[in-house]
Amino acid sequence: MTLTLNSAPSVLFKSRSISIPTLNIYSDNIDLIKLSFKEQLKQTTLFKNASVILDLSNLETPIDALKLINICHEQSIYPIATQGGNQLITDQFKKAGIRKLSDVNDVKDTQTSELVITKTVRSGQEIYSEKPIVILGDVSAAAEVASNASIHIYGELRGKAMAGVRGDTSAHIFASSSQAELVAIGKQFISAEQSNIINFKTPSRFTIMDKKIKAFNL
Amino acid sequence: MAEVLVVTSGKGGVGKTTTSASISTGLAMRGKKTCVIDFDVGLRNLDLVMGCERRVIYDLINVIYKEANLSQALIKDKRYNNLYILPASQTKNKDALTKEGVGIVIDELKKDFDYIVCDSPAGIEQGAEMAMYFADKALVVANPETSSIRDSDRIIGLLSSKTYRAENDMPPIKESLLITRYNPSRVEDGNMLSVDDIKEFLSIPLLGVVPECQSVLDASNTGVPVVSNQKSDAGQAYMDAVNRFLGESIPMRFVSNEKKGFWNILKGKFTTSEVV
Repeated sequence: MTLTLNSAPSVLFKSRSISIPTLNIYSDNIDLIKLSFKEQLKQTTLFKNASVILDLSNLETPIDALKLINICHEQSIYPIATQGGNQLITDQFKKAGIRKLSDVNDVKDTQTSELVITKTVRSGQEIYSEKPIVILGDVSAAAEVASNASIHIYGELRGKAMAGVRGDTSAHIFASSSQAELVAIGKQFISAEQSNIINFKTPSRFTIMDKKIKAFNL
Repeated sequence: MAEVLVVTSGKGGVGKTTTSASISTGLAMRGKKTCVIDFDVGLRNLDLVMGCERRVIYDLINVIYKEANLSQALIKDKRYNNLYILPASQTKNKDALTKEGVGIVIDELKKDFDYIVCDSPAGIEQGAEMAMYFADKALVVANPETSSIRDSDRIIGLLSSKTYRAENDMPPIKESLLITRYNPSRVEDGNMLSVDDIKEFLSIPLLGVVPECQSVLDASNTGVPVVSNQKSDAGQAYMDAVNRFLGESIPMRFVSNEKKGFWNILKGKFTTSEVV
């Protein structure tokens, strides 16, 4: 039997935020942990069958990772990742099949490339990307460009540019010239009415300094 | 191979119908078999500008709904025998235009004509969308004012996204710009956007500049497209645009203010006295 891909995807990535409890480990003594665990779970059923993140930041010496995971499973608690802890401890858990949380993010970061728009963004068009956006043309009046990261405009910015819309205050906006309606980075914004620093004829960069948007000539 | 040209602008009252009438008449004057379609269903005007309002029996909507043949609805122009007009319906609204119906009509016309000129209604809704959908080329008409420029910009965006060529990954529609109601002396006084300003904002090739001219209104009222009046500035500007559209390279005229110096005034006096 041969399989062919039809137009509807069989798998699909969707971003979603959920809150996960952490289990803080304060001792490297497995038996002590086991006792303490039972005592706490007698008081509540709230964490039964819960997925948890193991917080290892209070540990100084290595611990038997496999044993700890087994204790958790016995109590119907399921660790899915670790956070904190030194390299040695983290590596032990990695061998046991549980990765450090920031490693998961590291993988995501290496996949980031930019969205390149080769034409002018016309009035009324909206461009949004999680990735940095590069625009080779202009951004016309009443057009909007928004990115979770930085925005690079090789033409003139006459519409709205919003960088770091998910809160990344280290995002930048670059433009060759600007008569922008609005420039925003993170939660900060400047409208044309408020200030004429977003009105310039030379290539410039916007960035956040002291919680305010500042413009710099390139 | 027939070419479909849409005349569009977004904003109303900038001269789409005047331009459609003059460009299609100009193409016919140059020997091209041309059909001009009015897509302004419910607000039919092209027939008035073309001077054939008394001869409308069937219209585009009748053809789409198979209540009439294309040959019954096409009106042959009285002045140029290779020019035809397909009028809009005055009683229906724009929702009567269907993609399938318009597609069939345009395919049918392509067999017989060199050029099919689609006169778009104002706005960005059904009527305007249908007028541009099957286009190969677009003529964006703009006045030298900011509201017109912004609307034109919006239309250029739609031309590259909501058309047959865009949806089927074909080479994009070739857009060009026609600036109408241009007044060089007002530009010099700083009260009007200049051709260069508009070109910079819209960044598409310029096909022509038509000056503000009394002859345009006179032409609309008498039902003779202004391009037929080769004594008028607007008529000459439209003919230049037609010639450029057909691939000729002609310098732009009527873009700078003619100095009313002593000799020009004197020359003007002499020519008038000679005529009298």
